[in-house]
Amino acid sequence: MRHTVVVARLALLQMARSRPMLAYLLALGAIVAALSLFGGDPAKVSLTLASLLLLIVPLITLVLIALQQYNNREFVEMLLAQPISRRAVYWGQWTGMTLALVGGCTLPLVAGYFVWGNYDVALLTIAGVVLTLCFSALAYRLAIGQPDKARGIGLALMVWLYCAVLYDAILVVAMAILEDYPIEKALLVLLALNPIDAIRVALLLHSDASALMGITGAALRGFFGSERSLVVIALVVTGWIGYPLLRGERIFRRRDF
Amino acid sequence: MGGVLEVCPTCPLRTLELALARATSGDTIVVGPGHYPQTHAVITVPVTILGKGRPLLDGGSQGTIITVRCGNVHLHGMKFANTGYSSLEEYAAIRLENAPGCRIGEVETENCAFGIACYHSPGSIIENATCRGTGAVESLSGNGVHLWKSPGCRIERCSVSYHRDGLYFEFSSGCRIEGNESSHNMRYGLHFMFSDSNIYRSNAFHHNGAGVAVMYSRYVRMENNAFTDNWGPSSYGLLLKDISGSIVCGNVFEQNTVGIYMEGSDNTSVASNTFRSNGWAVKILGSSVGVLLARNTFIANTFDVLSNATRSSVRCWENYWDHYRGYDLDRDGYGDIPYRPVSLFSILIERVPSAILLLRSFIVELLTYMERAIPSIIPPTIEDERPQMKAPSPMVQVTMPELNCRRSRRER
Repeated sequence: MRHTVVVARLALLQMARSRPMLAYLLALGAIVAALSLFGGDPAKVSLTLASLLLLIVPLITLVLIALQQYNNREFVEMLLAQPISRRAVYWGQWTGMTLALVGGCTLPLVAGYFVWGNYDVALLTIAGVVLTLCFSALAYRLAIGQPDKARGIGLALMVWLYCAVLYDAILVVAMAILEDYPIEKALLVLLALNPIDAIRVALLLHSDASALMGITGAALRGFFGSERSLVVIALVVTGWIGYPLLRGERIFRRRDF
Repeated sequence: MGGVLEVCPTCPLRTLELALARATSGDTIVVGPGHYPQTHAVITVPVTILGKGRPLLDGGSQGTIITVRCGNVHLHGMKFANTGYSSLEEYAAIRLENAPGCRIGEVETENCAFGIACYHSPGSIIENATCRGTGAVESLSGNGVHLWKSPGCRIERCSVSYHRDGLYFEFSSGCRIEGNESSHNMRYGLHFMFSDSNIYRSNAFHHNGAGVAVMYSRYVRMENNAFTDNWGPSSYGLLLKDISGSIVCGNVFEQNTVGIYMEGSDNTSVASNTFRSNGWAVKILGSSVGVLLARNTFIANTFDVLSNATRSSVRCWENYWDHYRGYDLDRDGYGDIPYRPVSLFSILIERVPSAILLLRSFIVELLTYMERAIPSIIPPTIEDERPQMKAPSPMVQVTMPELNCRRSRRER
């Protein structure tokens, strides 16, 4: 455990000092500032910010984690030569890098809230943190499993494209084709399976927009609007964080460096 | 000139009923301050009843408090409470039956099933009344102001809340409804059916369970009203069903799930209204024909227009759309390329309601932008050929609605 903390601290500092991380922090800060200053009323600012976070946070998280993991290869090998368990190295690395990214996404949001204070900071921060955790786990697993750097980064980008864009596009097409069938429940399950969609739907249901859903919304709210929905979403998200990490650990422990 | 009878808890005439038994046509009854429990009076001669110091007439949850059975009765300055509820009879604070030309002013009703109910009483005037209902469940309460077969009435500056329907009219044509406020009613703020040629002006309808619903009427004018905060899965700012030859003009629709929902309506113009922050600003469905959407302002609505109507049945021009991305090269204040307010996504939602779950998804936004840039996928249902580049100043909308209404009618 002590070793894990030491490794995590090193990884955190390394990540926090990297230049892309600074760019991420500044970019998010600029977005928050621009929206707060020119975005109009709080509901609209929260909404736009949520849409942007849903796109940007997964992308940056995937790329930065994968990149850092590949760049740190020699460092990891050096660590493994020390009397430290592989488990400590694995979890320490992930925790450190992820903490840096969590900071990178919450810091601008919280700071912006204290300066301008015109958006729903709690909900957005939770969404940002959850997205960061999900996609850092995925990226870490990818980088551990794929020894080739170019391929690994390419895969990370594909994962983003798939989750953020293609998945919904496929759903739209499927809905247009299957419009005569009762697809509501299936749609719900499919949405819960994509972390970006799960978080987007959770945000939707906690905003005014839930009233737009008519009968769908009424059916949904029995299930999704209650505390039970939070439990379900938490379970799905835990799955998305836990499964890749555990898989990755197995690969990491058996891998021949 | 008739005589004057005084009623007060310590007078020889202790109750309104005793005074009415003595009253003859044209008398004035002055009701002094105090509490009059178990009042159930029936008026059969034309008298004036004036309240002095807001007397409280209490029905003791046993039924209608004042029933008027003749014309030309004036009621003024009293407070009514506790009619109770019956599923057989419509208990009301004031009930007019075959009583034409009555005048009711400055009355207040509280905890009554129906506030003021008029049956076969044409030409009545109700003004400055405050009706606050029970706030109970829909099936155990009545309407604030209820008109049945009472044409030519005037309802002005009343405030109605916590009833089933705030203002309710059926078979009551040629009425004028002005300056009222109807809010927090369980069902509709305003509800009318089979009531032609009514004018609704400068009323405020807000926080009602299902907004405002008007059906089966012709030649209705709704001007300068505010429809706000009717937010819920089955709420409408204004629901028009089978309305024809009507004008909806200079109104403000804000924070409604659906601003205007129109079904089976024809020859109706919707002009110079402001739609702000609604889920759907306008939904035109069914067999609506000859609908005109002109010079309205659409700001910050999730969806502007949803319609399955054909281009020839809904005409649309010179509106301001905040989603419009066109340009104005000749600087005449109107965009050079037409705007199509119906988005691809809203068509998908209409066909597959659960598609709303993809709201604010990146791909959906992308599709909408694509459609705006290269309009090819959706058939051209509704098109604004001359969209305004700048939002009309709110002052123009508020201070000169008459002018705006007239102008849009002329342009038609």
